[in-house]
Amino acid sequence: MIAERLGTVVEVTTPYRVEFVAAEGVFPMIGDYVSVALGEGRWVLGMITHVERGSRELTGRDIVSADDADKIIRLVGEPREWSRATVKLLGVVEEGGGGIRLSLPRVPPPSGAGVFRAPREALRSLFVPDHGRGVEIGRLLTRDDVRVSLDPNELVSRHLAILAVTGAGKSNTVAVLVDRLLDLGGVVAIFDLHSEYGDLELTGSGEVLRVDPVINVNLLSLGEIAQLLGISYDTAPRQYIYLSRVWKGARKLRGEGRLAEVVADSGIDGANPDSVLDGMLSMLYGVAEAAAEGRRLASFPGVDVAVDRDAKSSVYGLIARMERIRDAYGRILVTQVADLADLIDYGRAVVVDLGSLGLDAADVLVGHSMMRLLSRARAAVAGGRDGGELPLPAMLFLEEAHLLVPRAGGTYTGFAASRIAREGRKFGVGLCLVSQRPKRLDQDVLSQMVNKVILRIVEPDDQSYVRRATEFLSEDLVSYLPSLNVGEAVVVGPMVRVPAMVRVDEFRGKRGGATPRAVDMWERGRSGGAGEGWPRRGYGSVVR
Amino acid sequence: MLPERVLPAVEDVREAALKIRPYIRNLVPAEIGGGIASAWRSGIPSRGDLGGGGILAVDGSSNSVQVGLGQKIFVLSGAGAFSGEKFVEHRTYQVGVVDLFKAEDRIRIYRETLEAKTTYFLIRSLRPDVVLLDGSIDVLLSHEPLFYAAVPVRREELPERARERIVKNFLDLCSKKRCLESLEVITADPGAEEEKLAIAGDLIELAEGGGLLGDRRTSLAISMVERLEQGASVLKMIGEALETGSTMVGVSKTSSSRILAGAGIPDLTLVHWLTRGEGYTEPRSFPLSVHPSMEEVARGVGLRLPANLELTVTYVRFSRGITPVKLEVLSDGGGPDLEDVLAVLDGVSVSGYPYPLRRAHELAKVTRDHVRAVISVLDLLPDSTGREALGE
Repeated sequence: MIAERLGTVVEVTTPYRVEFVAAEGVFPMIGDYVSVALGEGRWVLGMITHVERGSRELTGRDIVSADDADKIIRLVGEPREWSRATVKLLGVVEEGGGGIRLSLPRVPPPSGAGVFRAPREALRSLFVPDHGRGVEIGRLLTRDDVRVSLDPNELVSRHLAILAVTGAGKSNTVAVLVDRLLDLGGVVAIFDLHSEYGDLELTGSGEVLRVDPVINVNLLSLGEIAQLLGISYDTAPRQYIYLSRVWKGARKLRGEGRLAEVVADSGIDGANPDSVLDGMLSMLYGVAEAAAEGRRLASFPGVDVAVDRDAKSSVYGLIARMERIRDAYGRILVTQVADLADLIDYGRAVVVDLGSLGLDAADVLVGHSMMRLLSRARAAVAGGRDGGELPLPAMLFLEEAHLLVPRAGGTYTGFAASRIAREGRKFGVGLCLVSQRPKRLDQDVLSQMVNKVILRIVEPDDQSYVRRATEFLSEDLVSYLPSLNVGEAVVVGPMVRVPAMVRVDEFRGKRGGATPRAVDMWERGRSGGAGEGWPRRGYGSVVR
Repeated sequence: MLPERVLPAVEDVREAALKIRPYIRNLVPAEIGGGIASAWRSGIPSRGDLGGGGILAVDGSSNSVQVGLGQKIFVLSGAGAFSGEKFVEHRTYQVGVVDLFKAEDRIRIYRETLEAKTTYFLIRSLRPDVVLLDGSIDVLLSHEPLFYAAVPVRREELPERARERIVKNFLDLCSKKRCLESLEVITADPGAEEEKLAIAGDLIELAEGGGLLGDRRTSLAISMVERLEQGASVLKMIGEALETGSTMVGVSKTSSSRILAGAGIPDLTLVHWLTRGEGYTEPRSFPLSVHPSMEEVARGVGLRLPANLELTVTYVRFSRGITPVKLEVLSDGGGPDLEDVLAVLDGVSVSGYPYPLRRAHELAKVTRDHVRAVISVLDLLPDSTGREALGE
């Protein structure tokens, strides 16, 4: 088959970039792949990153009205159009050995070289991983007949970020990826901050396990409890010290089987005798009492807690915080619940619905789950006693990541994400951050999400932030981000051999998260058929 | 001990400007303003018919770069755009080398020659109703001091026999090289250098005592030969336009002519300042004078120019809010009405300027990239300019 000639290389070339002028009647498309002839049957693959089009006659800033332009057209007839394109060179194509290899061109292509549309078959080979088992995400934007598959090995080990404005297709992309990862037997967990995946129904062989957002309080570390309470050693050192003392004491008591006794003595309403948290609260009341009576020790069965002279206000402050947490999150702080690591499995997506939680609680839950999984994975890989038979590698999807992994830091999830970004590769834990506000994401973590699926991004600050955090993203491609349509994405990173502009498949299963259609919902509501969309609760039931 | 000041000086440029400000402000007396206003006719005639042959516009351009420490490489272009049944474009280039001495003047003469030749050939092949030239026809022919470059200040003292001899030598060269049948500027061709030197030698010999300048005389004499080719080409172009019935119009975006107001400020500036909206000034005509040597050259190449050649001048604004242009319409007494010309030009004007001329201008443009390409093809290295010593 003779390849379609698009044009001829002009200007100075470099090993990374060429410009070409298009043949008459040819208008190159941004994102399309071209092959530039190097001679002797060799060619270098490139991607069109910038296109200009104009006419010889209608060029000039002094054409200031449509009347002017129309008059010129009447005089000259059909304007003679031209087009010029910039190509980012991706590599010299070497075929054989069961696939296509790309190597960096060391010598720039010659000026005057022919530029051809890259052959379809070559592109098809290029967008399938060598091992042949990829995660199909969609089709090339410029070639409907070329499917694009991501390399799941690279996807998990080098992490992923899915970035776009609201409504550009992030959730659809997540659903497509999850569906296809599970078809490959993948292990997935989704931290669903806005309850978008609660109704997820897949089209493939994978299964979905929805879990309520609960935390086994007895597995929380001191740092996690402090995070939950909203204190740290830096901001409230005295409270932190008392927290540390009662945490150690409560764990010791539980270990010795005497925690229930202490909890019962405290008389706290509705307290769980097996809960370390309730045990800590019971002990804090004991400490407060000792402080009020001027004692220097608060004694519990087998455990003494030192009480400083002016401990009263710090201890009461701490009690207030713990009471608030018990009131607000009592139902998610339990003592009998399976660890996330115990729920994940091959071909299964565990969806943790966080929609009912405030941000602080969600932060602790997600951070705790991520750290536990990493810890268990580390132990499993090392063959330690806590590892067991953990299904790995696992891919964790974190929706609304800018809320839990913010640029300003300070969240427990941010800390956990940073750990997984650095160490997850070794222990088989991959992370996918999904966000609509990239510039609010922790840049260090974002830059370690080496793979990226970038859908429409309009905000210039977001664009430049993404650009700085993305190794494979050229300035030209960034400038194209605002004009992407819904579901169109720039895909970069080692999960694809070369950067690609992709039309992401439409997820055919069922999921939430779609933008509510207001008029449809009003109509249904008026005709008494409300039942889909937002539930009618609270004011909705009394206003009528 | 040195005096504190050697000479009384204006040490601040603002002070120098303030000194002339009163004169600048008073250059437009009220009566002149009134004269312009009374000569102004609002609106452009809406109907005009010059036939169905279309409008040809021609422009030329040049660019140059110094090579070595004494020469310049130049690139000339001549381009035409024709708006008729079809829109036709044409462009031709020429490259050459000149000495630095008066280089810009000589390159301009080459450019005008190529422009005239381009126009001639396009008139022959396209037979347009109107031919638009970028600039003044008057300046092309009568205002260019023919021998000034060769014999500065003292041209009147050039012996008649010397002038005749030079014209004859040029006609010989022209005949040998078929210069008026060629789209090439023969005197800009490095291949004609020997013949040019021979003619220059003749001139120098004949003019001894007439005041040729020292060691520049060869260059000056050569430039005179080049000027003859320019004049001959322009006359040939005019002759062809008259023969085919094409109305030749010079369009000037800038002009220092004072034919209308005779004031201290050029007419075009006054019209720009003192008039508003679409319109034009009452036309003024004057005879087109051709230098005797040019007439001789014309005869030598078989051209018979009418004795009653005249230029009709008007300043016109085709579109509101746009700067006016100066038009010179060439005729031999029997040309079309100015109103017809204005109506036709208005029909092809975009943003107040005839589009074919704008297109010809765009086509003709010679950029630094063109010059760089020429240097590259000729394997010339970017050279020192001699101005490095000045820190440039």
